[in-house]
Amino acid sequence: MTRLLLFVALLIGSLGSAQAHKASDSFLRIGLDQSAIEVRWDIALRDLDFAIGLDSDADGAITWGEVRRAEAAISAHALSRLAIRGDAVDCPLLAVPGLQIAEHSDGRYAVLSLSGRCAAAPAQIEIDYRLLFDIDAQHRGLLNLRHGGDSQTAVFAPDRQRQTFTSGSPARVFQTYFSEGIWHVWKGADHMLFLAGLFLPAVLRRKKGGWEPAVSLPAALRETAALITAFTLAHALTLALAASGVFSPPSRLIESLVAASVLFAGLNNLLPMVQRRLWLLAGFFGLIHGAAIAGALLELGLPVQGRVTALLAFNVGVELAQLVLVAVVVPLCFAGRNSAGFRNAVLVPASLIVAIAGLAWLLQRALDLPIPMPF
Amino acid sequence: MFRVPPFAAVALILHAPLSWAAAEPFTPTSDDTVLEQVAPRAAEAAAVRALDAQRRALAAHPDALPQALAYARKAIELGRAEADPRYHGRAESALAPWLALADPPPAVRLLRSTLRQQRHDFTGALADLDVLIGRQPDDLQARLTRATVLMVQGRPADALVDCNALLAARGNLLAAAVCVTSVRSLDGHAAAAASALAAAIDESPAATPGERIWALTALAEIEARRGERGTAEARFRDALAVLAASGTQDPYLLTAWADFLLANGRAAEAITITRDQTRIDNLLLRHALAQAAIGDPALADSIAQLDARFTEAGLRGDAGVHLREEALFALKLQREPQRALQLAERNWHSQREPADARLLLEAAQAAKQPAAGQPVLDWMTRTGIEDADLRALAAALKAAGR
Repeated sequence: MTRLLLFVALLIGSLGSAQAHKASDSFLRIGLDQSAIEVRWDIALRDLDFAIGLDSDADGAITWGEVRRAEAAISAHALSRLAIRGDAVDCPLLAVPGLQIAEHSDGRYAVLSLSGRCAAAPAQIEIDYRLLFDIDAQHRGLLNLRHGGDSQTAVFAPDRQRQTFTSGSPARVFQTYFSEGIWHVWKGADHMLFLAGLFLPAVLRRKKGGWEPAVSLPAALRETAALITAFTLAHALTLALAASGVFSPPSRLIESLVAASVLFAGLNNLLPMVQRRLWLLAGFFGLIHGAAIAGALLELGLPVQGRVTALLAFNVGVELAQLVLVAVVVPLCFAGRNSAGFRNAVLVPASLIVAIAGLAWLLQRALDLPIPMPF
Repeated sequence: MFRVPPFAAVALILHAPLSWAAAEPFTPTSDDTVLEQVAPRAAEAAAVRALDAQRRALAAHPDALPQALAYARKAIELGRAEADPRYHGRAESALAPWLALADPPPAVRLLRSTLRQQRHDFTGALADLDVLIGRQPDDLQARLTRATVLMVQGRPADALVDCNALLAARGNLLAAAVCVTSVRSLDGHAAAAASALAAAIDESPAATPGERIWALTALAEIEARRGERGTAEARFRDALAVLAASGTQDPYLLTAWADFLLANGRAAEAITITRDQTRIDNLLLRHALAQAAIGDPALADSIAQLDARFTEAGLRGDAGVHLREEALFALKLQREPQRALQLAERNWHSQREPADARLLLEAAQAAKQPAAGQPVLDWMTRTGIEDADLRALAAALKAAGR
């Protein structure tokens, strides 16, 4: 009975009553000029009162005197909840004395001025915002970031506390996404395995019950580079289409197809299914891999300005990383192509590993089987 | 997964119209200038302080469930009394360790459903309530909340199942009576519902002031829909008397009363009762509607304030929560019937109470698109709702459609 009574109290008025107020927000305006940072941060007095206590005489009214005397505490609290990093290096912030007040739609806000400096003019700015999230899960930080000529906006929430912004200049965008492309190859386990599956037969190929070594290194390199380029071109095509929103393939299907391509590449070395025009196969798989990376890219965001530059830079990075891989791995394999040791200790086991990993991914992605993966 | 960890670092940039103009900052001249009230009245200020103390105690033991529940309930109650969602965010924070669990404890799940309902996430609220009631069919709190959500969604037949379970449990008879009669008043049994609810109120002398206000407000609204203006006003005044005696706040009652006055051409009275309540968006909106009705020159100021509040709410991505109010604002004050109709149509997808039906019909009429009101006409036929204003609107719309 008491339980029910309490609950009636909670419900009264919620019969159809809408939220009649705004929830808590702060307004964060950050300007970045070369390496110098200027911040104006408007935080509701009611929120500050709840977080650190402003109404020192506890009369229910927050006066200017109370706010003014709490300036050091307010600044310290705010500074402990905001961090800015430029290219992964901390840009220390300081409070500029002289707290002010501003009127917002739901009451008065304290206006804090902060200033800071990064080590150098950054290409990427990471903002880590944690104000009030520990005591108000519905708090939001509304950001307006001015960086050179452009202005960007974002919303910080408990599940989006840290966000990174790239500078709008094309050179910066290119640099950033180019290195993302290189990292994509180095860190993407399935990408690497698929490439390995493609590389290996360039130096030693299964032929009618036996193994046929490649004749010359330049030929092997040319052949591998052609495969890789076909792959990248196709990859670039679907990536651009999907990233521009022209089509959006279902991610589970695409992820399963990627896994199937890895499985196929591994098996193809052991039980040759496709022997000639391997570049067509590479191109076909490039289409699938491009769609897969687009899904991840879209989830995480592309810059509004310089979308094309970003995509181009990313693909150039991917291609370059792959070519470096070819230049290092293929000559090594070529040198060992005639020894039985290479065949039995490297080619066959590596192809098997590629095939097994592809199979495991396929089962995991297509059927949701919980298969633990080492990478 | 195709892994792209470095991309996790790349900005998530929103395309929404998010540029906000910052108000010019100023430096007050006197230390005595009052900048903000912790709460509009002393009684609430004390409650806010008590909540503060509770939070500090909780901070020392963030994993103590009973304390966290007590704090969250207090915060939700305050949020209701003040019509201020800040408190709901605080309740959610206190429950965070348990909300992160795949299967939160029932008491936490129940509060989460209330918080979701407040945010107009009706689907999420129903999911929680279905789990609670599925596991424990005699969970009366969950039943009452689910009935409320189903009524807001315009599903009286489903709500009635839960109300009947409340009745059968013979727990709180007044709560069960409000539940059942609110539903039956929407499906063609308004007269019987009104007399049953009036009888239930008379037979519940032990009810708390909060329950009485709730029941009397529900009764007043049923009478108003039936076109029984005199009786409706008497019940509103009964509720207001209980409210005054209890020394509490009830934004819902005030909003309903202001709507009643506005609907009956009594804008001057509506201005008086909303004057000191404009901190609450719903009441500021009623205040502005009343100002518009009598041609008060202060209307421009109220409209600017409302505009700023809706804009700031939109910035944080909460636009969906205010659809009903925004549609009303666009329709009656901004005089943008096409936009009002779009908002009213979106609102009708999530909320289907008589007020939402009226809004869509009025917007369809103003936008000269009578066909847009068809979903409401169908709903009226299906439920058999008795509502004098709705009937008149529907008749006008049908005439315009011919």
